[in-house]
Amino acid sequence: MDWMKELYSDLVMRYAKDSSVQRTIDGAISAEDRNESCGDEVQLFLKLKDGVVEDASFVGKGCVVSMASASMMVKIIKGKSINEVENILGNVEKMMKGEDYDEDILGDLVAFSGISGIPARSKCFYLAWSVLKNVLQSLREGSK
Amino acid sequence: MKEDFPFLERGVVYLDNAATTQKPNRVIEAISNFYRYHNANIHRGIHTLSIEATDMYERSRERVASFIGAKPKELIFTYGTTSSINFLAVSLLRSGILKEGDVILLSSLEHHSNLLPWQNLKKFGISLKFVDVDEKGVLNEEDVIRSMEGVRFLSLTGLSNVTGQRVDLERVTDAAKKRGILVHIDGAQTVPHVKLDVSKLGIDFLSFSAHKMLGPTGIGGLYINEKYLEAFSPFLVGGGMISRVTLEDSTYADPPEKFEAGTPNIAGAVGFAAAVDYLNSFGMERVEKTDRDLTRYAIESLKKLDFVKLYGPGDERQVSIVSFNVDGAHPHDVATVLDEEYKVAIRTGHHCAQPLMRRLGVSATCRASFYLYNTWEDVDKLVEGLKRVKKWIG
Ligand SMILES: Cc1ncc(COP(=O)(O)O)c(C=O)c1O
Repeated sequence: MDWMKELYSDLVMRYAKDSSVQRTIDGAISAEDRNESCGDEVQLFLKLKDGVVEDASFVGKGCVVSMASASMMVKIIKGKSINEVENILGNVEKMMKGEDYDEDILGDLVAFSGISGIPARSKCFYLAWSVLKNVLQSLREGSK
Repeated sequence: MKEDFPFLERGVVYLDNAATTQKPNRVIEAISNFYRYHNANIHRGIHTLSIEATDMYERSRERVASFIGAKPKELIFTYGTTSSINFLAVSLLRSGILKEGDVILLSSLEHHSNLLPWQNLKKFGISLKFVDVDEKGVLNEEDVIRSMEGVRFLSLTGLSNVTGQRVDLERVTDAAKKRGILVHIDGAQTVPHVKLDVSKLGIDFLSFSAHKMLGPTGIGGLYINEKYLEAFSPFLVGGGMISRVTLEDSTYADPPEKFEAGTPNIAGAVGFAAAVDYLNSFGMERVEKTDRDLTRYAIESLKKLDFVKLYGPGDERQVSIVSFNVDGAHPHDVATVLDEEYKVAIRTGHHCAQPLMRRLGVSATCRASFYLYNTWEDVDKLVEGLKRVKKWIG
């Protein structure tokens, strides 16, 4: 099964098993979500400065897919402006739905390009992104 | 016997029988024959087809009732275990059998379906009391008996859908009877795997689902001991369950019709009876032995894998279900690899038993569950798959 090899590729496994990315950030915006059906958890930390993600991290536990996805997420959004982050999120969502998306801005995340074909696991993949989405939304509401 | 199960031609190693079982041709044909040649609504008709359908429905009731050692009028067809327990809880309250100040005893093994309907009674002044399990998830019958003081009603699983532990129902029921406690057994996993006779056991209520015992989805049973049939108020009211209706008031038909308002799942009942016939002809002793042997072989084989942690009693009390985790691998990843690479279907998650998961200190487990068509090769395939999982992900 090709997508299996992709789903558990060396790259994905490296991200999932890299516990060094898991840390808290003092004074950061924080939010969390849980996937009740399997108990996976992600708590996200975002430090913003002048509309730019100065630092990002998470702590959590869960399957390879949810952890690798969270790990890739905090790496890719670091140093990006909120607008860029919104754009990444939008493309991640398109990828998940099987729509056309911009590969160039998703970096290592394209390892999950097959996720739209595995509905049983797309919830795992999306866990960290749903937390990010909520944070972005409350930022937008807060600035209104 | 595998040839009786068309699904197995797909070559899947199906180890998710605790969720639902596959169906033999006999059941599939009984249902399709009903719709092809006998379909009519029951009870109300005068024409031949309606009389025939009523007869098929009522004879299905007789066969399913006799399977659990009940009288036909003591067996109500429901949608399944969950609806049986909801029905039971509400009816006990409405008919005043359970009332303010009463205590219901449950265990931390229970499926959410044998928990939430009782939680709903708390707002009527009924309280819940729980017997805890040990750190392996094992329920000690002595603990259940010790907790019976001041209890009015006991609702207990007969076989845990997570750990596969078969509870010694005779011991527990005897002790409950001596103290005048009413007993309901959640038989969703028990009735499919071990011979259970309600009259010998002396329990008051039993819930079970057809789909976990070779029958169709959407139908199940609730056994109500005849001594409660008159006192019990119906859960659903409307057509089909009445004797006389005026605009202001109504009287009800005799049980069991009284409890089956609306057009029931007639084809489902016919399929349920066909499933029971299949199990009878295979022999429940043989079903139990097959499940027990497979479980023992699975436990032995998994114990040899030092990266696998097993839950549950791990001895002859464990029937048909094995719960485990793989070091360093999340259950979802285990299931994905087994499914894709080995065509082995297992279930992962909390198995509708979050309190038990919390007690075991995990958020999810992997669960393999067996039935009469599984083989030792299926277990070998699972073991082979787990070695691969460990190498790849663990
Ligand atoms: C022990 C137990 N109780 C209750 C249920 C609920 O059964 P159903 O979904 O058929 O209503 C199940 C099935 O998952 C079960 O295993």
